[in-house]
Amino acid sequence: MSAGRRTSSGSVAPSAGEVNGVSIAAVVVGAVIGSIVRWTLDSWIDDDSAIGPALLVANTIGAFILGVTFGLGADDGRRRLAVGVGLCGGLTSFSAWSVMIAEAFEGGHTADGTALILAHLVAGFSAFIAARAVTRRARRILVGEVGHLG
Amino acid sequence: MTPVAFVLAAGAGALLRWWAARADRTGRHLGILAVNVLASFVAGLATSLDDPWRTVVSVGFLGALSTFSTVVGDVMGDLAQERRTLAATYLAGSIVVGVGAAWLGLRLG
Repeated sequence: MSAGRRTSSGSVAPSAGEVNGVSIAAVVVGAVIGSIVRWTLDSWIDDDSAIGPALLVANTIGAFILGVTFGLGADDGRRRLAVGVGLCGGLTSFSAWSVMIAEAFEGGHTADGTALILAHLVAGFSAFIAARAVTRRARRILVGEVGHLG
Repeated sequence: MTPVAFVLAAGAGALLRWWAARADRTGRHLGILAVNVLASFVAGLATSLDDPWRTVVSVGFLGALSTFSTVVGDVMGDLAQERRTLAATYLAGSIVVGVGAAWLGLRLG
């Protein structure tokens, strides 16, 4: 497996040498699945609320899954491409969020626009932090048990 | 037609985002910032489209081109490395410039 790298800023940007058919397929397949899930959520969930519940669910789940991959230490290589870049990137959307906020402020609904910003930030960061912490803890416990048994 | 176009659009958007992230060598998330701002502007313009093009362009292509989760992951990575100023600037800048671009797109659309 070709390894990605974390940049000096901690970015999840991949290394320069990993573009090939497998890595492209990993990104595309993950993104298509994520996008279809987001499209489905948009169709299923009543989106009349000010906080944009369908997109809130998609962005929160995407941040949660990314937190799990970080907790597993799977933020490098093909898994990171398929799950982090593809699935989570396709599932979550920044542009739809921006347009909803801009429409709220444009319509004079300042409280709704502020609620939209805060709801997505609080839910997204909370989901990421919780998922990463729980996954790291579970991983330590499992690794400890395996080591004890061994 | 729409499902096929949607799949193609989502794949193309994700690959363009991946390319932008790879092209950025600054370590300051400028590639992701650029695609998020660009996608926000075009999404504002695209509100004037009717279905099925609105679904294909806005939900498929622009939804996959932009990303919320990567912003969260990058900010958390910056904070873990105690790069608080970069984290705050990146997050606040993404929101302010992204929403501003979306607003401009809405006005022009």
